[in-house]
Amino acid sequence: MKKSVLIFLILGLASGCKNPFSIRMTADYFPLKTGNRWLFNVKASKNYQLKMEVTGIETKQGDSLFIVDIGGEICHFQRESGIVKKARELYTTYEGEIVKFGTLYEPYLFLPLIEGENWEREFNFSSVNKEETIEKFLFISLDSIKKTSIVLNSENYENVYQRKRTVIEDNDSTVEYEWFAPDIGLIKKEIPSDSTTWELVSFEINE
Amino acid sequence: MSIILLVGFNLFISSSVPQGTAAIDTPSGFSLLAGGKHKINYDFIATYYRRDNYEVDIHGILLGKELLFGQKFSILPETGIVKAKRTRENASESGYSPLFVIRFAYLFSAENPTFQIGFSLREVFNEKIGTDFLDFGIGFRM
Repeated sequence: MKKSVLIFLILGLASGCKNPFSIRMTADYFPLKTGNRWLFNVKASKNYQLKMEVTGIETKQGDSLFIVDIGGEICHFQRESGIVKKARELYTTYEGEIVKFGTLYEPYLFLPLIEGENWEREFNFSSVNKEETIEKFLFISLDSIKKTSIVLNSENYENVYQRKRTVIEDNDSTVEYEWFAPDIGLIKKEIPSDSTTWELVSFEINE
Repeated sequence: MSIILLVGFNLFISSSVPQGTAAIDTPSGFSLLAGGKHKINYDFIATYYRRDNYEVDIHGILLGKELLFGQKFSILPETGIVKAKRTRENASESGYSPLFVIRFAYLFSAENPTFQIGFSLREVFNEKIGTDFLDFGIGFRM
């Protein structure tokens, strides 16, 4: 009996310890719930604060989309098992006219995040405008997912995943670095091409 | 010594698991319990789950003590450690997690083997205490 009590005591104490892997295994790295909000300090050519908020859910063609207001810009995210997709309206300008290609639900995050992961997806679209076929190309790649910890505004965030995301749209390419914290979501973003950095100041996550 | 074989189903309800809404990330599998000295149960669990774009493999060992009520109801609290591995395409990540499980079962009247049905609540010890996994399952005890 004494032995079993001792075993339970040891296991109980071990269970109470903060376990980084347990946190990574059970945490939500992109919590989308109506009312969730984040406030970022944006450092760019001009410094300002940016609010990001999940304002509601919309149903489009049977799919539930989370409406996220990012500094006044409305974005739609779709959440399925193992993946978060972001709606992107595809268009191009041809001879002064806008040619639309429809909405693409591009892969934004694969969940759970896994260190060392990398993937890429390529999309080709075409649309007929004035009897001419207009083509559009989109390439998304994600690599360098790594675990890290980061200090932002004197707050230490642990079990953070950092990733590099490259988007090539026709002839333009954008590289973004993003950091995601457990049960918080996006905490930092860097866009080297225009020297822009977002850093989390505060957040409110609904349970 | 008694042996109990439990088979779990992929039924799961939680708000604290990585996939969020309508999430099913709980690999259920089988569990083999053996009653040993001092009526302590040794539980070997192995679970594997495959989703569209990732797979999870968990195995580990738990210790617990079963409480029987009128040979009809069983409550088995257990604690132990599991090794979990998540894999997607070209990458994988693994680690150890302390786990607490409490199993509730109804035992049907039969001599041997006894059929049982029940559910278990699993808590992976992290920053929040709650039910991380909920499994429904059936089992036999010999």
